[in-house]
Amino acid sequence: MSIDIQNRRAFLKAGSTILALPLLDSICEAQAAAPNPKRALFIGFGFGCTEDTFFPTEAGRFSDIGMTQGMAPLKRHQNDITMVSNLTNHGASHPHSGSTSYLTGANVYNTPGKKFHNSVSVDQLVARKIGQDTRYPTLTLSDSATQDGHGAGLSLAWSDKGHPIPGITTPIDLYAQLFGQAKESSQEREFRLAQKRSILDGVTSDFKSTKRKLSKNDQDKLEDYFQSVRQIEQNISREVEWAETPKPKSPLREPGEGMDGLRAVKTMHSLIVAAFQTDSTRVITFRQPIGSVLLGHGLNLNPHSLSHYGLDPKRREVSQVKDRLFMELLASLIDQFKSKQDLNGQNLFESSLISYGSNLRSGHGIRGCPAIYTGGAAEKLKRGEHIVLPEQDTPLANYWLTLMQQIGVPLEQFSHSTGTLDEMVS
Amino acid sequence: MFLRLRNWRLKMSNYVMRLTSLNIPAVAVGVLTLFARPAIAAPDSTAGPLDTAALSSFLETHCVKCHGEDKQKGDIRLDQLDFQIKEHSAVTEWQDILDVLNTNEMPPEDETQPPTEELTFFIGAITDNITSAHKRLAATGGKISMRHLTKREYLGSMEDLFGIELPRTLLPDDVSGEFDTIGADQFFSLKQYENFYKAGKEVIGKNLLAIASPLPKPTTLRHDPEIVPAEAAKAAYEKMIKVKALIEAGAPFSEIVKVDPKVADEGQAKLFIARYDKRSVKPIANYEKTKGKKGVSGSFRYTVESRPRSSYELKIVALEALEGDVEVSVNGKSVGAVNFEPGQSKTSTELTFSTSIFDSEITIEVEGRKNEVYDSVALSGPFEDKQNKPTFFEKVVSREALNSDASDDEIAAMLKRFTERAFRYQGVSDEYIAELVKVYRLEIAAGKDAAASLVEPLTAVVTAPAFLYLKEKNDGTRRILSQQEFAIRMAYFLWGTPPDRELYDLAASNGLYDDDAVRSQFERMLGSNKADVFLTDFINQWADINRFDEIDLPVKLIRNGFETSARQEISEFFKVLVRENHSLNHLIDSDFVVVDEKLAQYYGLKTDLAEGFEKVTLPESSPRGGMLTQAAFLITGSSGARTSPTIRGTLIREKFLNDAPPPPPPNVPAVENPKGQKLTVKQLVDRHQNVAQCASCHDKIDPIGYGLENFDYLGNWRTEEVLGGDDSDKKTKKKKGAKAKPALEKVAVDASGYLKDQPFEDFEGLQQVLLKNRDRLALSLYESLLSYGIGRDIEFVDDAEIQKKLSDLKSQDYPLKEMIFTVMTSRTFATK
Repeated sequence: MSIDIQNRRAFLKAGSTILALPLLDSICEAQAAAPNPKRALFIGFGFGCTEDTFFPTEAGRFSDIGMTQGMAPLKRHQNDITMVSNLTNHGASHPHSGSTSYLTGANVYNTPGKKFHNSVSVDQLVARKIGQDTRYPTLTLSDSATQDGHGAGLSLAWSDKGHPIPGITTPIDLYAQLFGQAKESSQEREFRLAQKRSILDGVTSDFKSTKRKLSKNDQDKLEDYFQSVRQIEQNISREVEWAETPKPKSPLREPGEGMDGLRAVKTMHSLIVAAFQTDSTRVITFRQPIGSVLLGHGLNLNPHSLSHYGLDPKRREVSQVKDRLFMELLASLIDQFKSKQDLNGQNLFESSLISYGSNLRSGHGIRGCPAIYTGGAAEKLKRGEHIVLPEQDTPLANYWLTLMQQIGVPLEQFSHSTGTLDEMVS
Repeated sequence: MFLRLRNWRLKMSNYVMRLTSLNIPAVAVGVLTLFARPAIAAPDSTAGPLDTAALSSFLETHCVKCHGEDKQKGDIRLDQLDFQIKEHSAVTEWQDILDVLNTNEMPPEDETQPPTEELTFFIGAITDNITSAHKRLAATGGKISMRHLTKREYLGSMEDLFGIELPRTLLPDDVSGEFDTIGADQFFSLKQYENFYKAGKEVIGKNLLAIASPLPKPTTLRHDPEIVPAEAAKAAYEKMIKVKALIEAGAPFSEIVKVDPKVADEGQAKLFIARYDKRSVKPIANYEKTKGKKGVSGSFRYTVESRPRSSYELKIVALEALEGDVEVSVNGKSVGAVNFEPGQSKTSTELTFSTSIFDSEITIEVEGRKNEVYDSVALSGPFEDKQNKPTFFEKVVSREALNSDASDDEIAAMLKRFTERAFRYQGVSDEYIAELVKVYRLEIAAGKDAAASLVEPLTAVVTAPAFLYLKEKNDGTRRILSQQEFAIRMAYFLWGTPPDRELYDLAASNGLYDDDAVRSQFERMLGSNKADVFLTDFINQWADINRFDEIDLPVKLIRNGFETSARQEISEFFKVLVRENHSLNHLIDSDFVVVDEKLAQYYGLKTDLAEGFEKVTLPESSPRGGMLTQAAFLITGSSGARTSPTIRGTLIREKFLNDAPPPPPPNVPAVENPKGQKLTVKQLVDRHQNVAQCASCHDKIDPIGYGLENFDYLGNWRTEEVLGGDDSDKKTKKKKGAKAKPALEKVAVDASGYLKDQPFEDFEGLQQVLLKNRDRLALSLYESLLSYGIGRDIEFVDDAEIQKKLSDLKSQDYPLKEMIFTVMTSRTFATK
């Protein structure tokens, strides 16, 4: 397949959301209950890694080429992890925005007539296919960091309209969401539903009378409000559907207050595993913090300063410690996946796809962004290799499209994608 | 199947570049908010006019050979480009050029490379040109997006309805871009609805409960704080005596331990006797002091349950002479002092206080001194709070109404009265009220009482769009606001609340669009302390105080409360500048500061300030004065344990020169520091100058920041700098057995720098340069006030009026209160 440059440009000028949306309905229709559920986890990590000690240069199986110093903690998983090089998020432009368009590919600052514009994220699309049979179609986890190289946004997830989706930011809140028992009886819930509907009817009728007096632009603005209220209704309906199914018992103890940042991320990881294990959801995104984790490790250094590690040998040393620390976290997360079964007795690791990366490579560099995946949910994806794509700056959207197709999302096009990556598929 | 084209590399890179890098100018290094800062910088910013001849010559010399009339390598032709960017596709073309230059891709390695200065100039000029083009192209023609209330405005609106002060913790803080009022930057989410719902329900529930629950019969609870310590003193004393007797009688060790387990062994028992006199002094003194006359010395605290929104009487009986007043506080707020004539053997002080709607318990604290002895505390209540005039809400929802079996019509009338005010008298439909009554009936049918049944319908009102959103009629074209809409915009601007009766009435009688009337309303409203929230929130957002919040200060400074004081300084200063109508020159340099005792000490000023912030005249010798010398500003301009001229320079360009630098471009070569060299901060930052891609912007940032090098990273004045200071060692945890640090090498601070072609020698010189450019500061403040007030970014369509207003203000030396009035009475402020 070859691609017509002119058409691609035209597409890019038109903005990416517009093309992605009409496909959504067809995804929903295509969905069928899967006997062996698949799961997807997307972790985004903001500022990039140390150039010369983290990134492998040689292509091949990790068992042959070995692990770089930065990736060394992943050695025990070397036959399961894959790294893809030469990817670039063509939507990314800001050297401090590792996460804003990481899962969307949208060029947020260059959509004609808009100051800021994002589009739907990968996780939301994946959830339409594989997230419909669980209590939560997706779980959005995030941090509250502002200096960790994530850029604008509240999490990795963005709605159909390209609006930021707020995330759960603490282990305590996540635990409550997953395992907290509802105090409401089903009768009370039905009652609340009737009540909300009535209130929605009220505001809708009130709105009708004022709507005529508002500009088109303002009506759109208000539509966000109505969308939110309708969502409550949908959520309650969903709760009613799930009312007969009690929340699972937690395989973990309830987290306490006052954790340091490192402990908090470790606990978030354990809760992610628990969420999959109990089949509470099948799609999770996690915008992972850096600064608080380093602080928990005894390193008090602004992550931005750290990303400019070239200025000082001591900083470089800390940057390398950071790389290893985060790879250790990832390695233990993989350990947990490997050691757990889901409700059907399937191995959690073998039924999941875990993706780990950022728009930012190193320093201010956004070309050749780090992309690691692991897990067995997609049988055909190659495992245990460092794949160097033949073309520099291959669109990151092609990577997402490939991953999505491989776990069964029937999309032909995503964001600025120009095709899929055969190199990743065996 | 992936793209297989022979010249793919070239096309692809073109394509990549097409997509990357166009940003609205953002943020200082490392500071990111939900939205990057929009450029307010007009094309007439300090960048100056575009030198198209020089730009053409650069292209001609370095690019056109391959990308011109004869050859168009990669389908790219650069000899016919228009420097005036008029459409998006042109932005993209220029961005492509910038990107290949930034990444050193072009000219190709085997071609002659442009000299650093030429490249620096070209990249800098094109970056600025794209920045202003982007602003021009993103313009909406002055369209204001409808917006929902900010946290400040929500609390103000609820306080207006319920007549009570609400805790600031009721809602989480807003996440916003430059100003929280900009509607185009707001995204309403389910989460926000839930936050508003939770807050509204809590306030309404508590209010209804306070109205519905009858006042219980007042009682008096007596607390004898002395009993516990007096008994403890007696026990200690008696133990002492017993142990002494046992030891003197030669009792076995096992017997002694039974009385006092703290005696560890026989040796200690022997020593015990020797030390007895010394050890027994305190128990004896305590015993003597309380013996027979009941009392507790020093501070104490006492907590009881209470009824919200009631009045209580507190009687404190003291036994021994007090030296001056002793503060008594209830739930953390001072309610008065224990004070009486010395020499009296027993006196009592009576105080009264009220509980708020959120107080379900009372904690009384008396901060006494050691030689003062208290006998008892008696708390009587609850009583009807006579201080409480019935609030609007209490008038609408009376206790009687709640207890009677109200008809649908009565409930509807009650709900309508409440809703009209909540919706700012912009109209309520009867259908809406009917739906609310339906909700009420649902609750009654479910068995709830009248008060509980009103919670949901009333919460629905304060979560309705007509309450949460500011509604301004519009048919898509710009138009002048109705007087009522103007009154609402004005009140939310100056007070963060809806209008009060007086302002509503004036608007209703069409009397607000009148010079004298609007002037007198302005004076009245700005003079009221309700305007504090505006002056504070506006200047905090203008100054980006949240960047200060993100800095980790040394623990010592957090513990002693310095952080809180430093954060508050800018707003206290601004309040004085505005209310006293000072010139904006004071933001650059002033002969006074507005500080509290903590800051005064930090700045080395000899003062003895009472609680709170005061205006303090500076001695001739002090380098302080103006915003640049404020600790919070200087600390924000730090990176770890060293100063950051880059951040300081960026802040000065954003705030004082209205010329925010563009964001750093991606993929530029990194600046490396040669190993083993000890550098000053200035030498370190100067390394940007060696790389054209960095120098093109940093040359216009860092040298401005150098002017503040006499202030260290914590904002202290210094004349010497430690060489090789960096952040990574100082803040990491100390390893055990770390080697002693070698002696520090110091050099004199060099605070010389420049703004474009305006050099300066030191900090004072920087202030002079900024004063010379104060029109830029005026523009920055004026545009920001306007943007904050009307809720949108400032665009080119606003320029003509702004220029006119600023020249009027300049002839008056830019007085700040007058500037706010001018903004508020501008045509733009009255336009939707």
